[in-house]
Amino acid sequence: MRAVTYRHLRILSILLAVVVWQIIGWLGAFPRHLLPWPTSVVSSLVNLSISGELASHILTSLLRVAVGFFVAAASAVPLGIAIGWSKVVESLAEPILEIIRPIPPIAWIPIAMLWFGLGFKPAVFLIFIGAFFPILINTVAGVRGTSKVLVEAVRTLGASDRDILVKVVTPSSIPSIVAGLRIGVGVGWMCLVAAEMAGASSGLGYMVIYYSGILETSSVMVGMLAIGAIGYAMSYAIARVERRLLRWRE
Amino acid sequence: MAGSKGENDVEALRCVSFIVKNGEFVCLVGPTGCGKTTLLRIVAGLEQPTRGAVFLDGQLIGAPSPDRGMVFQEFALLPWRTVIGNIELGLEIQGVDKEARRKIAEYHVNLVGLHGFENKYPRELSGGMKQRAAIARSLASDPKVLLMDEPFGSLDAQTRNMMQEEVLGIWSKTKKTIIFVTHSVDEAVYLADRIVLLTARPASVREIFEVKLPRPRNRLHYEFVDIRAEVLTALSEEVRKENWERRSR
Repeated sequence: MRAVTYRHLRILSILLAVVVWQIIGWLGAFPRHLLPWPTSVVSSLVNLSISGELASHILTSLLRVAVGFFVAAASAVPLGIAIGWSKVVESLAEPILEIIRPIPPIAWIPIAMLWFGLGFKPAVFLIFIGAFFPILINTVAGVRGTSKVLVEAVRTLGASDRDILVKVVTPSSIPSIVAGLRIGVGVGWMCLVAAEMAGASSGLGYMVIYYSGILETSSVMVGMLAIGAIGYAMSYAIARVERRLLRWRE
Repeated sequence: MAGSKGENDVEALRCVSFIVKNGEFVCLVGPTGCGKTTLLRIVAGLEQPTRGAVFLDGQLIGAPSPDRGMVFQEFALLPWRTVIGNIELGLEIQGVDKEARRKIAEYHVNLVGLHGFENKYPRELSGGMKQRAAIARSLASDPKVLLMDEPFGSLDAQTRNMMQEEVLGIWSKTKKTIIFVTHSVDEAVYLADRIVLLTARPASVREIFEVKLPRPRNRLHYEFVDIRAEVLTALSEEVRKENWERRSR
């Protein structure tokens, strides 16, 4: 008899969960608008995909994340390097940042809507706020963590401050920066969904709210699964990039 | 070079003064913590003496410069660059153009015996190879003096002996002035033209030993053993003083 591997068990556990779920549904223990059958979820998925509605919501959300995230990265990385490198910049920037940082991005939703209205802009702003700080903090940590002996060794080659910054500090910080980007993307994605649930008329977050309002819970679940899947995919994509960039690591 | 120096809150060096001749191989030896590394770092320009000065070819030295290349015990290679990328680093900093850089770097790769490993990353190299790369990196900038801070301290005994041969080979080929800090009297007697023995902290020069033995040296030869015994005796006295100092505090 062929041995049962752990991989078999993992696949089995998912199949089992779905089967149990379906059985509970057949038993009629819960009304179908509270706990849809797996089969309903699948059929909603199919419908939403065919009609292109799911794709459109996904793209809308992705676009918002992309813009918010890139603005966050483009501002947090240089600022982080400056803060890590220069005590002057650190003293000037840190107080303000330390006041803003503890404010959870979700608490920004009302002000975001006041400032930017509805739809695209406030969503992008919220993603920016969410992604900015993890990226910043990790970048600063990366700069500060640069090996001192490495800096000294390069100084004995006649390096100026600028040489050190460009040739030693920045490459040395990349692992931390990328880790920050990965975390930032995750936080930004969560903020996006919350933002869309609050004040948008498109996107995955909006979709979830809309369908729950008309009690089409199977579509709600499709939305939830899509949110999870995309969050995972983005994290995975950055992890792949990370691995390529860091081929030189022990 | 000549100078007398002190340091921050801890007086590391009290009165150190000696001259190194061009092309000489000088070893600095002394009890642990006596300040020999501090002295080397002052020569490198990584630290400033509170009193005194260091002169190179009659010029007062200041900031770190490729004239005084330094090799560290931890190798300090940039892990994200290949061997040849590391060796080219100093040349890049000096603005040497790409082709010339490549040529000089390749010459040094061969000089230290790393041919075939140019495109490897530091993590793929053994300790001895990493140190050879680090030496090549410093030499590529054509320093007047090569400063080596316990460069073989992280290596196992066999690799260490092999690297000693390697360094002597490189030294005879390049004719560089070398100042080499080590804990090992054996290593110092094997390598050096002269050995500068420092006292316990705060350090002064206790004695300078001339090692006039022809190379390659034989560790079992009675003259080698004699000199080694002389240096070791003096060093042990200093180590004892260091321990008295510590215990009486």
